[in-house]
Amino acid sequence: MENNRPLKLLIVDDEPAIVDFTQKIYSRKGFTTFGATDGITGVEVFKKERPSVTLIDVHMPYSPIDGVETLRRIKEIDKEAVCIMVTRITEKDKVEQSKQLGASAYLLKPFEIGDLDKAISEVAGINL
Amino acid sequence: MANPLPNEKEIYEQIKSEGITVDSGIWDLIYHHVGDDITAINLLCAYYLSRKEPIPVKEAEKILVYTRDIRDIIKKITMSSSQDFPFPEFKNNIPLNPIIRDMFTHYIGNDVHSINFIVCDTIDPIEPKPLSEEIVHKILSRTGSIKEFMERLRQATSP
Repeated sequence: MENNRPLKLLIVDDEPAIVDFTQKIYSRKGFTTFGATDGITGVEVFKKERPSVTLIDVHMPYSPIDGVETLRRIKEIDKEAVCIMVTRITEKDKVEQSKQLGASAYLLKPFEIGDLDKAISEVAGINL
Repeated sequence: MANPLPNEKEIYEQIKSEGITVDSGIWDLIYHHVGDDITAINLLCAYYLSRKEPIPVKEAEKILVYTRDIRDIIKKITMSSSQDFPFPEFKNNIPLNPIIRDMFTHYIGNDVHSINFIVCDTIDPIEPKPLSEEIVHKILSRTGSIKEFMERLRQATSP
């Protein structure tokens, strides 16, 4: 954890169960967690809480803005923001756009908890 | 995992030799629906495993919602005619080659059926029980199997 303070993790995904269970799992691992089920709320939470790591689902049909636009707005607020993009293997163009915007890592859906642990450990420099 | 088809090797060879493909838009649809559902099941299971607690009946019922969604999308994707296909933008890519349809229904169908069977049997309304750790591992094995199958077939059928 960062300077003995819990790391903050924000999860932005339009599937509420994914937000809910990711928050529950990482709260148990010592993170302070936040969730948003659309990109606009995600950007607002980011602005207020300044999480150490933000997990953003690229494909959010139920959100007014998609994951790439969410990333773009977060990077406007803080260009050093650490963001992991959750994509599907079929979304190569979105991966390319996210890379150009400065995403820190990518995770393919469907994923298992070990995959997410690994991605967060790598970008946050911790051991989960 | 679902038992491999006895002629699985030959099927993959046939896909390759006949150049059978699945449109990337169709794969996108599949990954969008099935990807979210599988991830949600995986996280739900991981949470209770991390707590070393069985999955309560109410939570276990959510798994059935996700498997229903997977079943629904596979049913649509494997329609034998595009007439009622609910995604008009991909209507020209339906029906899929019968070999591909059979593979979807066999592999994903069987894994989803197994998850449903395991969950329904345990939370049976007459004597509902939470899902034990052993059962949770069986469910995770099936979701892993669906993921592996999708990736293997996607690679084999991508132009």
